Amino acid sequence: MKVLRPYRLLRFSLVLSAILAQCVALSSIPVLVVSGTLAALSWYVTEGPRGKSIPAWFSRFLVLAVFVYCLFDAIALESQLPEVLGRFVVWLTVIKLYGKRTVENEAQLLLLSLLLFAVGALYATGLLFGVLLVVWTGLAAWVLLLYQLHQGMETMRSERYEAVPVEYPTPWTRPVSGLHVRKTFCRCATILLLLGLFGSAFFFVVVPRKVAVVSIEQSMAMDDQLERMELKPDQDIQLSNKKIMTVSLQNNSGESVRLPQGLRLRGAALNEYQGQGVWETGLHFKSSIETVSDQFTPLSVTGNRTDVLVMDVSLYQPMSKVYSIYRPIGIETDPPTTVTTNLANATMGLVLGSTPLLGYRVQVDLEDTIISPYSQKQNQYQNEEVYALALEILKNNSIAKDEIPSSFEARRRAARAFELFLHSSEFTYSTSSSGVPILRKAAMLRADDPTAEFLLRMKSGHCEFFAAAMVALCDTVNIPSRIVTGYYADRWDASTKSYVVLGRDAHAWVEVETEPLAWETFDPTPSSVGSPIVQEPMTFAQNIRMNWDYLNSAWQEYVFGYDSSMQNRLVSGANPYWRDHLKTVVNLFKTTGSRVSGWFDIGAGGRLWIDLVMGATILSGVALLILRWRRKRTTQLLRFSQQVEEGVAVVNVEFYAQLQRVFARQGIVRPAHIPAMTWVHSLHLSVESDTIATSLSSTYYEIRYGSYCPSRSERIALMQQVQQLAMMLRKELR
Amino acid sequence: METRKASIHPTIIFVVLVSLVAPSAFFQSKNLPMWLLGAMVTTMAITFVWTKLVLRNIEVRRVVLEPAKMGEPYIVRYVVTNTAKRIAGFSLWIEEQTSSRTTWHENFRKARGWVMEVGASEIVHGEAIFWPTKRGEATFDRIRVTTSFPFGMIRSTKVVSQSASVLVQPKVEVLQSSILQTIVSSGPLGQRSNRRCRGGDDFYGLRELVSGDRIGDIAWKASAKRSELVCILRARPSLPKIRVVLDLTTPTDELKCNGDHRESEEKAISFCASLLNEAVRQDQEVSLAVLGVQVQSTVGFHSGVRHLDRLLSILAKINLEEIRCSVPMRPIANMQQVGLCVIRPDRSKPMRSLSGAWYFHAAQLDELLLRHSKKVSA
Repeated sequence: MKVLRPYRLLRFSLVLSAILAQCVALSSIPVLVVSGTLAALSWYVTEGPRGKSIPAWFSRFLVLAVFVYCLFDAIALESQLPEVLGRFVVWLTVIKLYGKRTVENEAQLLLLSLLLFAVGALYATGLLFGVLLVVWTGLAAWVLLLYQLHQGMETMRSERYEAVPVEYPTPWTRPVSGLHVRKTFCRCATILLLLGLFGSAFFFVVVPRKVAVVSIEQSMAMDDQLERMELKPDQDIQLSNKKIMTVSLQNNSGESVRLPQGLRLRGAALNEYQGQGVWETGLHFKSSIETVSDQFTPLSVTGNRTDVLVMDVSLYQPMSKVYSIYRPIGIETDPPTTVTTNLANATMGLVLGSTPLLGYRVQVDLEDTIISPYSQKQNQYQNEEVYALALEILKNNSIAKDEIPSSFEARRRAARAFELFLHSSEFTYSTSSSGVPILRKAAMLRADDPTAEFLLRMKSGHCEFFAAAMVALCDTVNIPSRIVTGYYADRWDASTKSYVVLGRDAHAWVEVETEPLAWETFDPTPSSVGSPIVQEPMTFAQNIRMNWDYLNSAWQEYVFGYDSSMQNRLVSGANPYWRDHLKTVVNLFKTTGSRVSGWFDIGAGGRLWIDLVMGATILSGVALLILRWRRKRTTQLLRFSQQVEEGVAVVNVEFYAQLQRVFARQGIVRPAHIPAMTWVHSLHLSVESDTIATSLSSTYYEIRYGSYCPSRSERIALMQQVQQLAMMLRKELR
Repeated sequence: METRKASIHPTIIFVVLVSLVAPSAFFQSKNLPMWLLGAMVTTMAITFVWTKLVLRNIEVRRVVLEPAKMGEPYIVRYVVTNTAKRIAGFSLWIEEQTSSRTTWHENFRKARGWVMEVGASEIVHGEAIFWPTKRGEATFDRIRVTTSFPFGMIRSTKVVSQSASVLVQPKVEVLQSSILQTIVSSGPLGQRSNRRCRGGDDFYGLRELVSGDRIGDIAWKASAKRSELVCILRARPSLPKIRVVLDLTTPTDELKCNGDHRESEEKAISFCASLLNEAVRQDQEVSLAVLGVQVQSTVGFHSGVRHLDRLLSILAKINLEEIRCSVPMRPIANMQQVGLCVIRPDRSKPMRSLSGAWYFHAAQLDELLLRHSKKVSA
């Protein structure tokens, strides 16, 4: 059979894809290599007419061995029980692939592949697993359809052989089918797949959910990291190409704007040194603001509103931190929420516990310096060696240390000197600690002060080291300074006219109070390759990676992170649409009614009359539709042809259609070829039932072929007889 | 009798899987299990609706044309019509339903027919191979059509009522041809002609005119061509005749034989059928008389397949549960020029009135089989 030809290959692909998906969920390449190879080899061993299989006892032994192995694994890795179960099912599937090819075994393989996905779905989060899941679901549905036919054929074959003794060999004939079985199957399968896809998507969207607590916690945890920075010399920085957000700037006339310099998206400011290389946000002078949708809420941080731009931020993962360039003067969020601004360092965030945002709009005033009234520090950085270095730098740049407390110009010059010192060739930018000699790295790990180690000896690190080093230098000579963490965005996407911010663009820089209450930005990180401030155009591979990450984030957001809040958003998004349309229709009726009453000047009584007429028209229309439907149903059931049966009113023979329905409910259907009376006699009913059925059939003959036209009361009597027969049949066949 | 392997119902497997996936989907708010659960529930709903839609438009009719024979597979055909204009039916199982009004399950092993596909507005013919297990009349009533396509989780059923009955004829064995030669002496036993019945138009050939032939028998056209007178042959040598008497007058429990008595009776019937079959095969005229039970007890002498069918049907209708009655001797009194054999289930005394007859008992059937004689000669 042509239709069943691809079954074996598809079934094998289905199982392979399930194993692959489980390995993806486990993130285990060794399991993938071993199980994938064994599974692929099974095709050559077991398939085909000469296929071999392992004996049942050996497969049982293997299952037992795998079970014991996984049991020990489960005891050792108690927290990873689903993963252990996943590995167990993988090996079980591989063993089953080497089993005998019977219909039962094939069904078990299909079930195992479903189990692989069900277990994998418990802990897999990646997009790759999602893609495999979607592909597998479609493939599984197709294979299941083919399996139904394959199983039917095999069962029929075996039943035929079992039906007669061996000495009467019954040749197997082709399965009975219609003319275009393959074409029909493909059409039906496509329809069923589409129905399945829409149905499962509908179920997924509609079924009530809880709020995704995990994502909020994750985002809060991620945002909390911004408020604290710990320098770890042995920790490498992973440069992620994951898309974090897109930022577009618009001027007053709504045109997109690209600034000559990159955007410094401020997230948090850290000024307190806690020792051991830990920097934290010190002062919290927070004020809360309730935002409103479709309107900018003014922030407490004010400034000259001369060059106002609107910054539209679209986040690719929910965040509780509000990033903005300097200086934010108004904010708009959808849905409305409570935003806190830290007056001490001019940063923003959401109130603890509120739903993370996926986008917001900030009105910004482009200013070079940042107005921030609080510069006090409780814990300053102190180190004798660093202090000596700072003095040396000041001396080299002819800046007197005594000038600094009184002269803001001296502060600026000193800060510039420190920045230039860190830009010198002595320091190199590196995200990896692999290039550092082991002894030096060990010394640094032992040291209490990683900042001093970086500044004096190691001289290689990432942006956090540079920013911390500059603030450390400033602190030793009493220059108010702080580390600012956030993103540096200079990657312009011409197609969307927006800045694209990736994970690798996370950056730390320095702000120094160079004027009273005004803070100037300094970036001590050298502009070498790999540094966040050098944002090269993306390569083809990076583009692909970025798109993949985009899809991944979409998957995480819309599928994996789909929760009740998103459901509510969908509902609220759908509601106005229907409401508006309904309102439009109602208004249309109202205006038409008032126009009509205006034309004829008919007053309230006339309007009531029109309403009554309209109501009656609608009701009669519905009644006509019902009658038409009933007529069609009866004609179909009694196989009336329009040409021959013109003289017979359908309403007259409705009782006989009802009679047939009564019998059909009891599983007795009149075949098309048997005349009504013959059929009734062939049913072997009880005497009473037979009498009624015969009488009804003869009346039916009289109406259909004898031009008999029953009155309304007679029709009612006939229907009552049918109901009586129905009751008797129920009793008889109970 | 072989038994079918018991398999777990797909609905149970489905429920177990749902019970595995649903907790993680609902209680842990995990979306991927929720998707899987959605897919599973949707497939179940689709299966339910699809099977109902398909079966709504399926009509089945049983076609039973000829009687069944013990020892030979019996094929029941089903005409499956799909009246739907768009939806095709796949994997339809057709089987007979048992009830108090049916007896087929006593006469046949269970069997099912399978139709892979019946397209929209198409008619296909499915078939089920039944194996007869017991002689007698089998009645069929309701046909059950089942399908679980597309996804196999839910099975929908439609029952169609169509009464029919089939006779299961006794098993016919191939006997040694010499038996009949022993019973009936060979050579022509006379002339068979219709002349006695006021003449007729039978034509068996042409022959030379001999004195005594009537002028009306001369074939004038043929004579003109041959330049000699030939006349029409209106008679032929009569065929050997054999009357088979099945003696079932002895009640089952009074039989004097080893083993199962009812089996011996069945064997006797089968012996009788085999003898009749062999006689017809050898072109002999046969007649049957069944003694002791309420069936059409005597049938006239005839030959041919239709006559054999008639005789086998009489044997098929024998109900061994009946109370045995006394022997009515009159129908079998006229035995002139007829080979007579009496078959009994057990070895017992010959009947006085049929003293010239050959007596067989059921156990002798095995000895008289063709394959048995071959084995002995080998």
